[in-house]
Amino acid sequence: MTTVVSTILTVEDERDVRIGIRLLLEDDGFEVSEAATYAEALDAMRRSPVDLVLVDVKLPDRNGFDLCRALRQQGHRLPIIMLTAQVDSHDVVAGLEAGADDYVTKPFVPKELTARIRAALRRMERVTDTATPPTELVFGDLVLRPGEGQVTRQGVPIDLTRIEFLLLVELAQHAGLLLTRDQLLERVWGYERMGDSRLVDAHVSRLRAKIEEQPGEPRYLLTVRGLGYRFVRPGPGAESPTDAP
Amino acid sequence: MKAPAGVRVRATLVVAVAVLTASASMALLTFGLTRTYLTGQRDQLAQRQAFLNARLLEEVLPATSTDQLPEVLASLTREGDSQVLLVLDGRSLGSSVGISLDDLPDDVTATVAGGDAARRRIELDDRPVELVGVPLLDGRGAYYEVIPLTELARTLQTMVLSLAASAVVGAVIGAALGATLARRVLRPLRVTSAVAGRISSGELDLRLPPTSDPDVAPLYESFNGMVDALATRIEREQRFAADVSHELRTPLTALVSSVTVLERASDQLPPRAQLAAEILNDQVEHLRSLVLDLLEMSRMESGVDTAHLEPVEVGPLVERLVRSRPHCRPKLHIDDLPGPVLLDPRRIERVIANLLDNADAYAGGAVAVTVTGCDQMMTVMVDDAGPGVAPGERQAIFERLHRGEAARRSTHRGSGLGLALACELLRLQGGSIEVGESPAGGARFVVKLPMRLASAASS
Repeated sequence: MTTVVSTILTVEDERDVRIGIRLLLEDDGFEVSEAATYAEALDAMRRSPVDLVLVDVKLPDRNGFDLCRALRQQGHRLPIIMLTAQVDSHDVVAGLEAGADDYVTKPFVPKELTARIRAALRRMERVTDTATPPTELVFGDLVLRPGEGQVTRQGVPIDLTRIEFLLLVELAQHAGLLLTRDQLLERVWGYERMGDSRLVDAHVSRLRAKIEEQPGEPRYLLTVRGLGYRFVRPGPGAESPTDAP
Repeated sequence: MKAPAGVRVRATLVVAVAVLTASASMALLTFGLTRTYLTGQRDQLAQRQAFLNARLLEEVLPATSTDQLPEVLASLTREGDSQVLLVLDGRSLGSSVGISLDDLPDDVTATVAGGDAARRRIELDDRPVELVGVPLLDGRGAYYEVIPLTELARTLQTMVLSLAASAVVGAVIGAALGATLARRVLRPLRVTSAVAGRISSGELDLRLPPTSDPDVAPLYESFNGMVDALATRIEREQRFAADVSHELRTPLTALVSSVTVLERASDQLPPRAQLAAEILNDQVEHLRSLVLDLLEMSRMESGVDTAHLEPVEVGPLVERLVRSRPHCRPKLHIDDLPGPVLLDPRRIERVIANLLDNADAYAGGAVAVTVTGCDQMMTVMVDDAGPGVAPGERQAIFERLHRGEAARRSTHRGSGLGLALACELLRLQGGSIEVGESPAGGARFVVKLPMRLASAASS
């Protein structure tokens, strides 16, 4: 196993917080680049590749959600972790909807921040892991190629972030089975005890928006009320929407 | 202390008593008048009858022999069961056995013997009777008639009963009327109270409906005005809390990260600086937990923090929380609950984590954690083997910033808000917390929560 130094971009407008985080992460063996604004962050992303982005919600020019959306629109699939002020504020849900993989509440416990960063980086490695067993999973017009990290619907590639892809593969590999939020947090995020079930819900809804024809009436990714989620192979009748009983 | 009677009870009682008083006095009046009239009627009748009979006797007696007397007496017109007594030349002759001159009061017999008629109501054999005496044949004899009043008494008694019954029925109808009236009058109060209850449970947009009743409109208007003012204030406080929260979190974040870096590099520092770094680290950590707990407390109080209920598998959740603390290995006893329970998972996690923290800080860690459920209640118990909580402190330890005996002895410095937060979080979910003695010798914290099953809620 080779040790590759991962680069983390920290986007935070408060100088002292930014430097504090940089020192902390450098201590833990990461390489850190900094950005104080939305514009600086986009600039930094263009200049050199990074492995993970840490984004504060409050930025002087645009907010962190906008940055998330912009990065996802530019096709960046890397993990994004939001720094939010409150656990139960709208920030958490808004950040996840904008495309963040996870969030950390300020003021964080340093150990927890690095644990989440490491978990996110490990997930990246898993996506490109060529040892993933099945080469192709076919569900109706949806085709998953875990080895290549690719999903197509009716032959058209769907752009998924790494974590969305991992979530989809996990669900698809257990097609027909119920997976609880806790199970998904453990298997997809790699969290045994620090997960928040809202992570799963927000990612499922993002995934539905990308793979379902009608995200409001999902055919593949079903909610098992009160328990979790189940991926199903759409039946032949479900192919035509007019074929209702 | 006994609670005073409510408006409805009082209105009911007042109307009932008023109706009862009115109908009772009407009944008394009716009874009095009727009795006077009936008695007078009866007396007159008796007197007239006696005089007629006496006149008849005066006419027939001179031509009647002693043998024929009983027959003559029997032929007299008499009222009902009345009895007659004829006294002639010192001899008495009754219409029935058992009545004699000795039974009659002396003053009546004397009056009649003196030549005057007399009338008197007396008791004969314990029965009320009307006695009429008329002198006969210029003082040679006397004629007495004894008329029983039993029938009249019975009539009057029946009347008393029916009047009393109608008074009682009136009072009952009055009470029902009073209750109905009071209920109608109190309707706006009931509506107000229901709406107030829903508003205080979080529906801040709710207002009382417009009303056309001019008596009720001012109440509704001022109530709605009060709620408007309150809602504005809550909104302002929420904004303030959010601002303060952000302002506090930013410097704390910078502090926490820098201090951690300093602490990690402390072996490169001179000994005096090492000690300073250690103190800095401890105090920043203390400050962090204090600020987080204070912010949570203030958010909860301003009502910003609303519950996010979702089905929670309580057993696995508790197990995960306990296992996440590598240093403590309490005995776990987890009953199978009937299914996922509707709860706010972050809040219940916080409560249990605070209890485990508390056991860590003051009692060397929890020794047993128990989850049970029965009926509509779910119970989580956290036992420790520490010094326990003295009976006098069992309420106070749930107060904010209370530093109990254990806290004063301990070197640990928590925020002093952990148990108060747990208490408040539980109260918001309809639960409760108390502390007692653990069989393990220390304290036992018992958390009780209503067990609403997710399956029941979704169907």
